[in-house]
Amino acid sequence: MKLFTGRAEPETLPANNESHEDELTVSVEEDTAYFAVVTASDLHIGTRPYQQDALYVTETACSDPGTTLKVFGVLCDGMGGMENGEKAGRLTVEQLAKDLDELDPHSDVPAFFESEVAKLDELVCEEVAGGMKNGTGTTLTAVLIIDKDLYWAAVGDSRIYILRSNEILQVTRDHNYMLLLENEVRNGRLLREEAEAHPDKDALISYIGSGNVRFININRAPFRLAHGDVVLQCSDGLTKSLSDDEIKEIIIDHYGDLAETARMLTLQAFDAGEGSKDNTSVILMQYFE
Amino acid sequence: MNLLRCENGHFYDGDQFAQCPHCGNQGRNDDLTVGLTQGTIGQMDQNLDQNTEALTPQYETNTLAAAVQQATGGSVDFGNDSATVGYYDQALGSEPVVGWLVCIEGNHLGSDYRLKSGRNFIGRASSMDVAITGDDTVSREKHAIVVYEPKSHIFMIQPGESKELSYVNDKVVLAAEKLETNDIITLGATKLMFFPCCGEQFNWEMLQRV
Repeated sequence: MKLFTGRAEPETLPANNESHEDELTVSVEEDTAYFAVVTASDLHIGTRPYQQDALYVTETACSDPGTTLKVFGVLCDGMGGMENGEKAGRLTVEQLAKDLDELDPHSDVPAFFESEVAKLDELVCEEVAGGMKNGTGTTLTAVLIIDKDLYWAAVGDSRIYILRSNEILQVTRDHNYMLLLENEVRNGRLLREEAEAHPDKDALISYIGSGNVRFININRAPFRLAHGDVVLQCSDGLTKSLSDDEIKEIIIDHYGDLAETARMLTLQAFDAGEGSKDNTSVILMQYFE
Repeated sequence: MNLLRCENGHFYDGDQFAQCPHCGNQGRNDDLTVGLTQGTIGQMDQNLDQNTEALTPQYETNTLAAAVQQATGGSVDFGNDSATVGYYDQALGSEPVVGWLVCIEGNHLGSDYRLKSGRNFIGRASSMDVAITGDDTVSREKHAIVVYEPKSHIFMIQPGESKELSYVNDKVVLAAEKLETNDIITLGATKLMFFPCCGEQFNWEMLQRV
């Protein structure tokens, strides 16, 4: 198991991607249709002197008759004081990756994610924050693919997107103060301008290490993947610099080379706009059958 | 390079950072990931609990959204050409509230804890129904149990499974005892005041009958 905390090495993709893809799609007409999940990831430190994002993703995997294909990715954006934030993110990634690795693929995945979130929350609270709610913690996104089924879980403002053909869809909500403010706007208790101007609008209201996780995003029923689907996990460093459409264009422009796509996403997030840049991390998975 | 020194003595490049990057949350100027302290959430948080629409992203009707919606099991409203994907932020512990415990002493002073129907385990672990996190004088698991009995609409407190004792109005709890409004439960250094929502006057079953 490897944990990336610096700039990641390119994922182990075959040098010649075209022939690689041919290989993956060749036996569709036979009785046993093969399928595969290609994975890639990248981290960029931005202009920060420290890297609080952490991630782990399994290697590219191809289906093997008789066994269950299991691919997963975990991405965290640590928060709080510099050392603690880094520790919270790393600890969460390490523990969840270990537990996902040991998970029986036939078990109840949504229930696993729910109990895991409670367990990680407690772990970070005790190990990093010293049992206190002091703003130290981490966001979490986790994606698990079992054969052709996708499951996800997210806490905080790191996001998960699914891209299918020309559409991109954020399947998680940002658990920040803006979520509460938007509710106030909707109910006429606050003006939109007031909400947008609120200094705390980006502050998280649900995160691992809060001692009491309020909100999680989870899918109860498996999401059935279709050929070519791309699943993106990312920290807010990406989504604060690039719009959903810009992210989509980058993925489509580099279709076929997922490792390059991951690098381009973090690089363009860094290049976009002015001023200081947050840590940016992405995990990409693409499903082929 | 524009070397600056912050109030806390850190040196940093003023060309790159608007404020000291070493001082964590204090800058709060741009894109640091920070948490919101519980106290500032207040009423809005409770409003959100009661309004699941806020947790409901709005999508155009299309195949991907429909597939996601199916996976998340959301309630669906196909009015006005837009699909509403319900639910999928799940507010944990969204069972109807039957009463509250409010911390009146201890490090969660001013926090409230929701009680649900049946048994509510109180302890320090975040997996507890009433999680008094961070108070080492409270047992990790099942220090005490507050029960709401929905048939007779009464609240009771009973000892948990730990060796630590609990008290109601400074009297030790050794067996199940009835709880009354404003009773004070003491667990270690934490004091919790009890407020019922449900009882003879009002309960959720009453609404279902109408």
